[in-house]
Amino acid sequence: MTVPRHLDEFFALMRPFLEGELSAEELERRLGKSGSGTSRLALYPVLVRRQKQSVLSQFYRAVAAACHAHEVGLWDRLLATFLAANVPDHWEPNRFAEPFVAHVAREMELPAYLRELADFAWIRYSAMIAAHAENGRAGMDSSLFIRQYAHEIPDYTRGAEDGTLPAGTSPQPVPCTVTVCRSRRTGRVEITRPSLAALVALGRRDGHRGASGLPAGLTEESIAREDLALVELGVLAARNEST
Amino acid sequence: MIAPLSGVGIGLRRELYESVLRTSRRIDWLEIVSENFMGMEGRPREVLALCAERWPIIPHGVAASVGGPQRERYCAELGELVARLDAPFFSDHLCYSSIGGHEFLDLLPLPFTDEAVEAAAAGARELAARVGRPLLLENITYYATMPGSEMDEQEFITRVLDRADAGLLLDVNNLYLNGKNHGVDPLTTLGRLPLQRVRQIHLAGHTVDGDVYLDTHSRAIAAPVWDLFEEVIRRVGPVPTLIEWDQQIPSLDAVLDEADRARDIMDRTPRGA
Repeated sequence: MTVPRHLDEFFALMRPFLEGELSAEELERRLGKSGSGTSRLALYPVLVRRQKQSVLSQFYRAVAAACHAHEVGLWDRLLATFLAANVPDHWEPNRFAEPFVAHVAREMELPAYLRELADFAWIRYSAMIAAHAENGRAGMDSSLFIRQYAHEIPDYTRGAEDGTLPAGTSPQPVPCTVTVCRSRRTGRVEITRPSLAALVALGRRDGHRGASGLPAGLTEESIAREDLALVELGVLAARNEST
Repeated sequence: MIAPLSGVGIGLRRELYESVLRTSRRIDWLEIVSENFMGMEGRPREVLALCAERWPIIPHGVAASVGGPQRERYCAELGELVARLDAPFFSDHLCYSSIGGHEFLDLLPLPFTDEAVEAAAAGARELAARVGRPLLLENITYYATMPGSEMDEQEFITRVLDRADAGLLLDVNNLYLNGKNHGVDPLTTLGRLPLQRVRQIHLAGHTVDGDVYLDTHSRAIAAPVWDLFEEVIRRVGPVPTLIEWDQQIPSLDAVLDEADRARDIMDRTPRGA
């Protein structure tokens, strides 16, 4: 039996082996036989691949559900193209999930709701791990994300994650606007459906003032009320707390 | 002041954050996956601070890759976390998980060779020195002996721990799975491990795929693993024990029921009986 004289040689060959670029037979030819048999050795690239798939499947449960509903095998294909193009380079597994959003967005022939579901999953995680900071915008926390989706993304995601989504369903083509933010009050990630008044309040905090006055039906009082509600929810800092 | 650890802990996982903070049931200590908190802000950091007010917290890594060269930034972030928690020790696995910046996100066995003994012991010593606290190394589940191995797993573990002067985190589920996967009696294996070095125990569930027993942490602890745990307690005494549940995580109550069962075994099993 050939005994590897240097661990460097072992690692140099294990890397392509674990990535599926070198067969177990070839590895054994170069390093010597495994006492457990070739088929057992061949399990390792499978387990490594399965682990990466598991990270993505847990992170993007709603994307996986929508892929399954859209086309048999689509989720597996999406994972395969992603894994072929991306190598984990950070010890925190969730970091490996980050480039998946851009990967889905590049696949132009896919339904748009897949991009929206992937984005929603990533911003919820980003909100969860963001430090509270005002990000240069008066009272607006750096964990705050505002999105306008063309589909009913939050409800679909909740259903996919709590197991209540009927099999084979896709997100409804109902536009929705959502804020995702880690509440200063509860510490948890809160998802809200802002009213028009709340959006105007958020816009004003961000320095925007409509040139043509208030949208129809809104008053300064209604906007002030929404501003206060967002403060109470922990989305915004109170005015006297902001810079 | 480093407080001693005792009793039964559970893994603090993201799915359990809110229920752990609310529970009034007994938890003796918590273990975290270090990498989920290293350099992390936001809710993970807040929850960790709140938990640290109530329980001792032990950082348990999955990516130190002691079989290879230690990464400066990894050690620095881990050291900051361990110091912030004032943990009496920290732990990781006797394996590798990274090659030249490529993270495999998995626990991979080293070849059981003299050279790997030296490399792993040197990696463990360096990691412990950089972090500044004692290190425990866990026996992993391995599905195949790596080519070139010159000794068995127990000798490899014993020699690495001796050379590194590290403690053993004895994963009883892994001990059981290695017995099933390699056709050896886990009690025989247990007798050849350096039990005088056991500082902590892990218990977890597993799955079976064909003829392979997989360490998945996705189910309740299996009956033979409970039996083996009782034997371990008989031999090593009431060592702090952790219930690990990392996939398909059930309610906190279900995890704590497992913790209660472990505590009951520890309480009623005299050492050496």
